[in-house]
Order: sequence, then C-alpha cells, then structure tokens
Amino acid sequence: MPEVHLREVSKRFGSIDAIEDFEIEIRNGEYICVLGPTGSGKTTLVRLIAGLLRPDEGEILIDGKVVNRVPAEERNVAYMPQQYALFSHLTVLKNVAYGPLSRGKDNETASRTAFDALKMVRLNGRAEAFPSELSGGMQQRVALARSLASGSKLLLLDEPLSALDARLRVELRYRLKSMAKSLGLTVIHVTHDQREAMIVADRIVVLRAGRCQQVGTPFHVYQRPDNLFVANFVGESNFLEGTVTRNDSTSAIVELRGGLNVVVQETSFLAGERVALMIRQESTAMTSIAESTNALPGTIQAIRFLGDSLRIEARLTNGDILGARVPVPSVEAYPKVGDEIMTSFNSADVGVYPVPARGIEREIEVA
Amino acid sequence: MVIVGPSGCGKTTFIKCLAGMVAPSEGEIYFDGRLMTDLPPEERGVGYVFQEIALFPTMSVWDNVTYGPRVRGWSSERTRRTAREFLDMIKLEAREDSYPRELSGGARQKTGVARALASGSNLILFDEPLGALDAKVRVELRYEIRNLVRDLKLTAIHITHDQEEALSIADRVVVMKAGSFVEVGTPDELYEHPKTIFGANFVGEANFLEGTVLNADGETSTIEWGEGLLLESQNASPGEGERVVAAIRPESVIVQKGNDEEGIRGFVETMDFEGETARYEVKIPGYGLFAVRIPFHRGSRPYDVGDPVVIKAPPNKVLLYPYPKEGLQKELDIESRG
Repeated sequence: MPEVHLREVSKRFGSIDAIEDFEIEIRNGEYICVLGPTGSGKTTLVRLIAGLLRPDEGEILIDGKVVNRVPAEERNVAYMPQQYALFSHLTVLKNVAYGPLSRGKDNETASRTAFDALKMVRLNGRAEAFPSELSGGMQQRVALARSLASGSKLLLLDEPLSALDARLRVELRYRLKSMAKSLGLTVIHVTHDQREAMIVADRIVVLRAGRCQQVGTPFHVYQRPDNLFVANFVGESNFLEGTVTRNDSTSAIVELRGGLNVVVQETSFLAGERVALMIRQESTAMTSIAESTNALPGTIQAIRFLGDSLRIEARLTNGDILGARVPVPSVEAYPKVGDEIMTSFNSADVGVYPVPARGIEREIEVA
Repeated sequence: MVIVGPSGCGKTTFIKCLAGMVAPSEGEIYFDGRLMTDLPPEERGVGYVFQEIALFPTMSVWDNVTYGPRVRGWSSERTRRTAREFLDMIKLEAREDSYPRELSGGARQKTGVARALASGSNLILFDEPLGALDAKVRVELRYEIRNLVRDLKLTAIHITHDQEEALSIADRVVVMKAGSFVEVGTPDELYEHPKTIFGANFVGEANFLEGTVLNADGETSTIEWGEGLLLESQNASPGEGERVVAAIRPESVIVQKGNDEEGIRGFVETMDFEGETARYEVKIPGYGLFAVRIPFHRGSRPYDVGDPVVIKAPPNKVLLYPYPKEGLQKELDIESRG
C-alpha cells in the first residue's frame, strides 16, 4: 500500500538549492504529476524518492517508514529515468518480463504480465523484436511497460512519454492513467507538459526552482492558481498591470496605464495598491461590440490558426496586449489583422495578484 | 512550408536530401531553377537548424552568430551589423557575451536559429527545431521563429511531428506517411477538409464511423451506421450503396443533455478536464465511444459520468471517405514504420 510522505525535504548541490523545504503527502493509489520547467528540480525529487540521492534535510517516508537510509534496491520502487536502458541482448518481451521473473514469478505469469503491459503501450506486436530494431519512441514505451510490469506498486516516471510523437503521446497518456488505476499503483509522474499533467493527474504539484508553488487537483490549480507563475504555467493567460482606484467591497476598479479601467470582483486589495490582473485567454472574447462588464478597444495584430480554435492577439489603445482563444468563426465572420476589435471579459473572470518585486515578466518567465 | 508526419515517415531523410547530406536514389532537386544534385551541402546556400542545437561551446553567443559571416569572409562592418540585427530580433542583445552553458534551452535554440539565419542563406531547413524544449517554451518560440523568417523574407521548410505546431505557423502543410506526401494544403484546408482518412486522423482528432450511403442527391447524403443510426453530410460523398467512413471532429458537434432530441444518443462514460475545454467520451449503443470536446466555462460542470446526452453533428462538419480497401485500422495507423 504505497503511501509516500515528504517532510521538509531539502537537497543542495554545492551552492544550488535543488529542492527546498518540500512537503507532500501522497495517498495510496494516487496519481501525482510533478509539473515544472526544465531545471526546476523535478528529476532531483524523484531520485530522492527512488533512493539514488540522500536528502540533506527532512525525511522521506514510504508506507509510514522513514527510508532516508534505505538503499534504492531495497525500496521496492519502479523508477523509470529519462535516460533509461533496455537489455540489448533480450527481446522486448523478455525485457519487460525481467522484473516479475526476478521477483520469483513463474515464466507463464511473468510473460502474461509482460504481454499486458506491452498491450498498454501498443507494442504487443513487437514482443519478439530486439531493442536495436526499434525507434527511440518505441524503446521508451518498452521501458515504460517494464516499469508497469515490474510488480512494484510505487512507480516513479521521469518524463515517460517525452520521446513520443505528439499524436501518440496524447493517446498513451489516457492509457497510462487507466492502467495505473486498474493495477492500483501509486504513481509520481514528472513532466514539463501542463496539458499532460491536467489529463493524468489526481493532483498536480507545480515546482519552480526547487520550491513547491501549488498542490491541487487539475481543476483547482487551473481555476484558482495561487500565484502568477502557476497562472502562466498552467493554461494560457493574459497579464495586465494597474492600480486599484476604488474598492466598495462588492467590486473594485483597477486603472491600467493610459487610463483604461477594469472592473474586478476581487476585493481584498486596497485603493492605491499596485496589482497584476490575470485573465484566461478562453475567457477573453474578441467581438465587434462590447459584450461584457469589461470591454477594452484594440486592434488585431496577429491571428493564429490552431485547428479547433483561433488565437487572436489585440493591441489595446494603451499598448497592452491581450490574447483570446476563440472557436473558429465562419468565413464571413473571419477577422483580419488590423481590424478594430473589442476585447471583452467578465469581472468574475479576472484574477488579481500582488505585483511581484521583479515585475510580471520576470516572475512568469519560463525560458 | 511545414512537413508533418509520424516518426519514421521519411521527413528527416527528405530534408537531408535537400541539404545535400544524402543523395536521392532517383529524381532531381532544383533551387531557383539551379540543379543541386551534384553540389555538396556547403555549396547549396542552405541554413540548417537541428533539434539538438550544437552551438560552439567555447564561443560566446556573439561569436557563434558571427561564425558564418566570418568564415565567408564578410567585412567586419557587415558582420557586426548583421549579428547586431539578429541578436536584436531574437532579443538576446543583453546576452551576447554569454556562453551556451549559461543559457536556457530556449535561448540556446534561438541562438542556433540566429546563427543559421545570419550566414546569409535564403533557404532555411528546420529539423524538429523545437523538439528538445519544454512544452510552453515550444509554443512561444515557434511564433518567434515564424516571425523571424517572415521578416527576413526567407523560404523555410520545417519538419515536425507536432501537428498543432504545423497548423499554427505554416503557409502550407504537407502530411507525410511511409515515405510519401499524402496531402498538401493550407492549415485551414487540412483541418476543415482533409482529403484522406490519415490526414483527418493525424492532424487534429476525429471520430471515425463506418457505414453505408443510403442516398446521395448531390447536395446532401444520408449515411446509415451503427445500429440503424442515420447521419447527414453536405460534403463530397461516395455513391449510393457504397461503404463509407464518416469523420467528425470532437469540437464540431453540439451536445445536449437528455435523450428526447433528434441526434446521436448515448451516455457519458468518461470525462477529462483539459483546462479551457473538457473532453467527454460518450458511449453509443452499437458503435462504441464517441469523443466530444466542449469549452469549459468557469464553475460550470455540464455533464457527469452516466448522464444521457444527444450529439448533433452539423452536416457540413461530417466528412466522408470511401471505405479503405485494406480496412479502416490500417489507414488510421499513425506509426508508419519501426
């Protein structure tokens, strides 16, 4: 019944705090995604749980037992690193059956388990191939199947789908989650792809520069990001900066540069305070006439076709830029760069945050 | 132009033929009317950007970007002006003295692009240029590259396995499968009216229904599928009595709660919250699971697992294809080779 607790875990490499003061309680059977940009400490975190690194501070508990001093091979964890290695002299099936066989399962059971895992990653047709005959993406899937078949109930997956084509990646993430649930596995899945995290996770941990930014269900993290970094990293958002000019406890007004005003329903900031506003791109509409509480005029400066939607960027009269994600319009209603437009959004859809010390841009910077 | 296709479809081999790194077994390649076949890569005037950008690690950003011009013997004035222009365009002027190891993945990639562009080529070949980057960075950088290429009026051939990337920046998209060009079109044409089942499946998502054409009067066709279900389409159709495959994109349908409306009836089996949208799989008796995608508004939770719903597919959004000779599954296979 793998439950994993991390209590105030820190890990340093020289002067770099790779993981700082990390705290989480992962329940038995839970699917956790650790989400963050490259370099945020995600790999360090899984290596700590796997036992390949020892924390400088804090405790790691698996099933209520402190495992800081327990070596990796005795932790009963299946760890799939980003640099995985398959046995080149064994067939795909034998690679995947290796785990169950070494745990004492008989040949038939081990092969059956291996075959089921290969079906999940859609490679049951290549069971007799050797790793060298497969593409990079296929090899990654074999490594994933090997983790699933290992017999361990706690899986640590470090970017398990990164080598796959976009299309296949989308397909496999659904299967991965349902397989983990049907096997009753506790999974810690590391990724930089927020869409992937949204789909597979029971809860998401957003990590940045070694520190936890927010933990919550995908729904919660998406609807109520705790800070600007999370608001930018998960989903697509617009950010505007302004000063609160009025607050009458049911709504407030924020004045942007150039005198543009935005009505918000967040009333915890006082008049005179500088704030950062966050509006999701799908909550922003681009229309010919004002349609909501807030309607700021602008000019279309870019239109991107995304297949199932358009992303329209408009420059407001004060120079600020707003992006909107809208359904693809009919040919007659198709907008053009240079069109005058009204960007509309409801006051209830505006998130209000304190302006960070180093400014909005540096705070949300991912690369 | 963006070439999109599954791993192993031949896109990298194609690019290498254009670059001169691989010789074609048959056929000729012309750039501006000039035959390229016997010219080695360095004489083709092509810039090449790889997935794993190999910047010279012992050279600063500035030295990396000016490498091409210096090697070509440009005057120091012209070299300096060009490098300054490019670094300005990719917004890395403040980092010109930094070394590659001090830069983020995105900044390194931009430097690699600037290096390829600064060498003066009019044709740039991008080989999965964003593959090694984080998802968010990929999205931001693809527009930057696109704008750079457009502002410089260059010709670019860009290969990727990411269809969203292809749709968002291409003038035209080529879909490749197992060594062949399967479809060519603008992003809009390819998404709204793919000419092949493979194209419809590889670019975007689609539900595929097998049926028979009951009647086709030139404007509207009626298809029978599943257990006696009917579907209308206003698109080009095989003839009456022919077996057909209908493709319907998940976001193109209208979904209503209940079961007393006209349309495809089923029960919600799964729900996936995607952020700005929610994806549902609806179980349709006699067919299987039909995927629908609807915008998800703050606070709303329109359907629960088990709810009865009715799906309506607008006839102009129902695409029709003759039933493939080798079966539907083979056509839908997005893995072309091992």
